[in-house]
Amino acid sequence: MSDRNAHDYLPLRPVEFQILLSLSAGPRHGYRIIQDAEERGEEAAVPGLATLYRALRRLEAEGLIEQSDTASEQDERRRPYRLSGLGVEVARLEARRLASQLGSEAGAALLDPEASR
Amino acid sequence: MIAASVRQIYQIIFRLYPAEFRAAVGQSLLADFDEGLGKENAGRVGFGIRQTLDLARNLSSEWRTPSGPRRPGRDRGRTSRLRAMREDIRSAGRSLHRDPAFTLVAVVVMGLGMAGLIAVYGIVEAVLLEPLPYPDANRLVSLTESYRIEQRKSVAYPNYLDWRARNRTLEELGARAWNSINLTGLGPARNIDAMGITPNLLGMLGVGTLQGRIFNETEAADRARVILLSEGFWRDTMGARPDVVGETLLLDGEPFIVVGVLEDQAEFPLAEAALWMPLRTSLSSVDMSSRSSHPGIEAIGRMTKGTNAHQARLDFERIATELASDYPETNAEAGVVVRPLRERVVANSTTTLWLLFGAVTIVMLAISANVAGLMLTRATRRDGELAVRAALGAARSRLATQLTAEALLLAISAGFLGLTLAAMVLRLVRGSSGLGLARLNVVQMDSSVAAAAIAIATLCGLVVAGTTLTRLTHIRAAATLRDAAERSVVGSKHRLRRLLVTTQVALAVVLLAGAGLMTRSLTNLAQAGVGIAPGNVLTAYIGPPQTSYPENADRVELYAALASAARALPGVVGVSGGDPLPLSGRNNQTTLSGDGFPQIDEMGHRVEVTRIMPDYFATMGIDLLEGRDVRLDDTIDSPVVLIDSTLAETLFPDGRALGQRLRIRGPAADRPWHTIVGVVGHVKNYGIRNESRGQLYVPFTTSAWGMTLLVETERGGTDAEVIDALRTTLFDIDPELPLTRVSTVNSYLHDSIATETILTQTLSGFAAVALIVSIIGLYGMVAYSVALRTREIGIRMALGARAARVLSTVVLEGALLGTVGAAGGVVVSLLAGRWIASALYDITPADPGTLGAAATGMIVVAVLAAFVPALRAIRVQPTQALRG
Repeated sequence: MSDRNAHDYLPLRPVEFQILLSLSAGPRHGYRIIQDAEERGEEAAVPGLATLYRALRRLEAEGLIEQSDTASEQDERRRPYRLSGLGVEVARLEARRLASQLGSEAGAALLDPEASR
Repeated sequence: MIAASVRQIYQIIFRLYPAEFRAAVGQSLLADFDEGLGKENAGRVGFGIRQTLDLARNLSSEWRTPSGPRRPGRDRGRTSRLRAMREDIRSAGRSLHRDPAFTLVAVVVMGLGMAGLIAVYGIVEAVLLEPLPYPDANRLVSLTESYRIEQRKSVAYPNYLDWRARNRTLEELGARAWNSINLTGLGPARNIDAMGITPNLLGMLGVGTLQGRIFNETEAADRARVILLSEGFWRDTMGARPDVVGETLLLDGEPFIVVGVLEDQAEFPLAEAALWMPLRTSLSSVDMSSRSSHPGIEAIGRMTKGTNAHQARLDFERIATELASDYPETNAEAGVVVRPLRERVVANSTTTLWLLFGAVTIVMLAISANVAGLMLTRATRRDGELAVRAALGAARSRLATQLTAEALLLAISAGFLGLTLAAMVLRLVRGSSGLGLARLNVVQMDSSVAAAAIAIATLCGLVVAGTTLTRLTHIRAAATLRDAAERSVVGSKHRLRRLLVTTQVALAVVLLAGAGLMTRSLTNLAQAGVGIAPGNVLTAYIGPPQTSYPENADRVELYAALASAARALPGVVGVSGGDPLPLSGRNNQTTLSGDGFPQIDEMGHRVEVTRIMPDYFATMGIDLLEGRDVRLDDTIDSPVVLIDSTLAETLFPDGRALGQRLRIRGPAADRPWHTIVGVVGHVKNYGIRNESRGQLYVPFTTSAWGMTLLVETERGGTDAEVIDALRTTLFDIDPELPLTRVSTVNSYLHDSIATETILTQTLSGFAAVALIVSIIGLYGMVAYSVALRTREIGIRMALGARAARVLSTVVLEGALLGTVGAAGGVVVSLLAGRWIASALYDITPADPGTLGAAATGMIVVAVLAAFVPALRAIRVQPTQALRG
């Protein structure tokens, strides 16, 4: 997988970007990632646990995230995930891609329909 | 509560995930789920349900593409293929929706067939396949005695004790014996079914008490008056009182102490008893030291681990040989019958049930062939559509998927209908009695029946789909499109349809023949008769306990008083009595000896004996061949007897039985001589199929125990007014004495052929369904080929063909299909004959008359079915046909 360029992973699925976004703030276990999504106000797009864990396994297998060896403090059954170097890179590229989409004229209009009238 | 069950469901679904996934993330995922469930107070259930749906949605994806490194492109392809399949199913649904008549017919016909198949499977499963609900049930055996040709005699108590002591193959041996007993002191006096058992029987069967304890070996050995109540008796009669242990009940006038209450027993050997007492207590009135007294004992044993029934049989053969040399005068020709418990319970039902199962499977096959034919017709009509789609680039696999989806959708809808109907049928069967089949009380719709239903539906769907799919091989886009307008090719294209129709015909003939054989067999049974021809005769048993009626004279007085009081009741034509009655399942045997009798064995000549009141023969419709009936003044001082024709022929081959003398129960000189005053017809006491010994009738005045009163009524049936009046009459004579086993002689007669009747009716029903199905198939086939040949027929008619000629061509086609099918059916019937042979009475499965009638009938029906489309064919207007 190391022979793959970070660009090859783009575009990410929404749930994958949500994971990378959460983990960029620090290591977390599964349910915290969901809570993050809820806090960001993504009610409609909060992933279910099964969806989340399938994505986590995929990202881990591709080397974008890693599971830490130490158990979480609150619950010894769970080990938190964190971003790998490649993961950080992919997350940045995806964030930039999305931002540039929204930075375009049409994107700005979508975000603020009033101003563009 | 709800949260807990949601959690349970979540875990169940999660268990369906691949092991690898569960191992990798299972703990974390479930911990997260618990956390979410715990945190979101108000929305807990909402969270749970949302997560459960998400889990279910991801399940199939995880199996198809295990979450792991992604291979670009691949995933997408799968998704679109899945989407395509979903579309195919949806389009199959739409296609069926567009053709509601076809869909309705197919679903209803298949659903009915499946209902039958599922219901019969449910019965077979519960009765024949399900083990008895006891620990190590396959090690349990029933042991009874045999004596010469007589199988399954009850066991003499001393023999039972020897079996216990001498066997090397059983780790435990217990016994039971029925005991009918009068309960007084709790409302009106009544007769209840009690059972004597050895305490170890309960241990062997793993039966526990609801209250109190079971009686112990000391109580059992001491003939203690202790009883265990059944749960039903405890609830219904004792009001489910919690303090019932220690209470006293009056049974046959004696006080018995309740020591416990047993869980209700649904199955052999404990079922249907209201209460249990120690075996030795229940045998109190019996000579327990005699090896020639067989007081209804059946032994139940558990084989040691690793022993099979064959080894146990050898072991008991050895014991029988030992006992024969130890006690030659009683055991010389006695054997032991060892049968696995389940075989003992269901033996008589096995043939019946497998026959029903076979018949209903044949019906389902016929129906499947029929629906496949219908699908084929649709597919043929859609040749054009399919060809266009193929030409436009639809993959053959997509077309196949859609056709399969249609067939499976039909079959699954039919499966739902069938399952619903079958559940209703099974509920009816569970509640029914008198079908003559064992274990019907444990029949139920359970998960294995449901699983069988799913399997049946899928199989039928695949059969139908399989035949339909052969159409696909015919699709050659260009050729079909060109031919679309003139699809008049008859040859090879329709070979499959013809095969399906002849199959239906053959299956119908098999069932018709089976139903015909059963009907003839039933007629034979009814005509052969058991030797009685009663009018409207009510039966009611009275069992006066020895405590209040110690002498024979006391009982004689009771019966005479009751009979004369009953004679005066309105609606009563005549009154008599006799015991035990034929077909009642009870019997009483004794031995005869006399001057110059052929010596049959050491104890004399063994016979069945009935104690009778005057007019017994007239009331039961038994022929009085010679001499006279018994009279009230035939007393013990001038003892008389009657014998049946069988006994008369054996004992007095010269035909002069009247006036001869015989001794009952042994040749000892202290036994009084009885004079034969009459000869009557032989009665088959155990039903038509079973041989019965010679019979002896003694007047009740000389020997009376329990008595079955025979009341001939004007109105017939179980006349409630007469029964109430009888009860009042008996109450006036003795308020402690109950009137029990109220029934009619005709219902005994009816019950004795209940299994044959129900089998005949069911087979006839199945045969009717198969016949109708095959008529529809035949009609459809002929009508279809006429429709295809409309043009050809039109041209022929235009060229001067006569209507009769056209008519006969078409009818011949039907007749040919019918004949080929009927021939096939006869062959199958002959091959399958041995399956039905054991259910038949006095008729062979290859009976040429019955098979011939079934085949001929089918051919006639085939011709008739072809007639309607044939008439349509000759009404074809040449001009119209040629233009269309």
